[in-house]
Amino acid sequence: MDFGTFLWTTLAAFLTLATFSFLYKDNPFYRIAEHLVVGVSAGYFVIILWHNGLVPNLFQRLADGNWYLLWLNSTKPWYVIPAVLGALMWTRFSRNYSWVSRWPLALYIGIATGVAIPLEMANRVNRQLFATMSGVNWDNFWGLGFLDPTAGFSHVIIFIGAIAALFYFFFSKAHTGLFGGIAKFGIWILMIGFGATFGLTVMGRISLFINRIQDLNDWGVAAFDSSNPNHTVWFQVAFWLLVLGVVAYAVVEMVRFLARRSAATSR
Amino acid sequence: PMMQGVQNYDQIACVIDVSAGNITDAWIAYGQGRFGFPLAVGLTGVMGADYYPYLNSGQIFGIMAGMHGAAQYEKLAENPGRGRDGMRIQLYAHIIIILFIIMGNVGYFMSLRDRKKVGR
Repeated sequence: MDFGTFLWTTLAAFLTLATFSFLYKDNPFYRIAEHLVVGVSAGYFVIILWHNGLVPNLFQRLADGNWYLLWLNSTKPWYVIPAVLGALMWTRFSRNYSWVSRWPLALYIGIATGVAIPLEMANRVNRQLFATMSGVNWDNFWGLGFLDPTAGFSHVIIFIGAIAALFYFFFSKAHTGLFGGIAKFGIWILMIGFGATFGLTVMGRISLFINRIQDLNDWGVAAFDSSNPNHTVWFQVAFWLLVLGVVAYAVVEMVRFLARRSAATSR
Repeated sequence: PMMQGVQNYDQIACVIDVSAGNITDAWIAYGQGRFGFPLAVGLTGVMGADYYPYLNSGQIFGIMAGMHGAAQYEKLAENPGRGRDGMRIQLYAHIIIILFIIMGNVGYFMSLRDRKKVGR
């Protein structure tokens, strides 16, 4: 295995364990991992923004112009306008000139709203309404079972559940009597939906953890299984250095704890 | 480049978005909603519950949510891998979490009963 692969896999193992060390308490190893991920994410995002955003949409379009003429001799000089507006947004950080940033921000919000609202209404509201109001599949009412989404029974549940949930959010009338009963059923439907979201969230988090443990297992196997084609003695060196680091930190924590206890006792 | 010569969505048979962020919303609203091409999505488990309504409404034709979706895809493609391995472990993790939830609820109702007894 080449040194580069060894280095990155060991670093990944170290950062995984450093992040999990937060389960004990906040510690320098966790801080290193946390700051590293924040810094690398920010740097990566800047590069992506530069190469995928600014370069193709601005600099390449103004490439046939000259910078000392402010690209006004370019075939598309109007691209300078959004560039200037974007630069003016940075005045937000100035105490005296932050008002300037309101102009490009207003333009940006106006355009984004005009583009987004009709599409969001059409796709998130109207299409969902149409799907909820679709006909019940009476020919296949029971389907393959209780959780068959194509069955007519599921369509009835979806329709009744949607109406009941909407009843809950109607606060102009007190939730009493029949109205209150339907609203309570609506809450149950909402809670079942939230429970499904919670379950999928738990599954997602567990699967991330499983993936990390699988990677640590692969790294450990490479470290100690000499028949593995990825085996190299450097893994074992890195492993024992990691263990040494953790043991050293544990010893330091223990010494501090004992020092605090003896100071408290002597008072 | 892969997309050289592709000018618009008429030249694309379908779009499969495999992502972990908000870009899926953009594909549904600004892509499929405007141009009507077939769209399938591969998501993280956390996002799955939010996007099943789009499957039921026909805005997307397929969804692959989290490790569960990956395992289903591996079964479909008859190519077992980490998804199916991970689902075995997921089963035990979920059983433990369900047990903890049951224990928590039992403890809660027992403490309610004790409080009522003390109140009397």
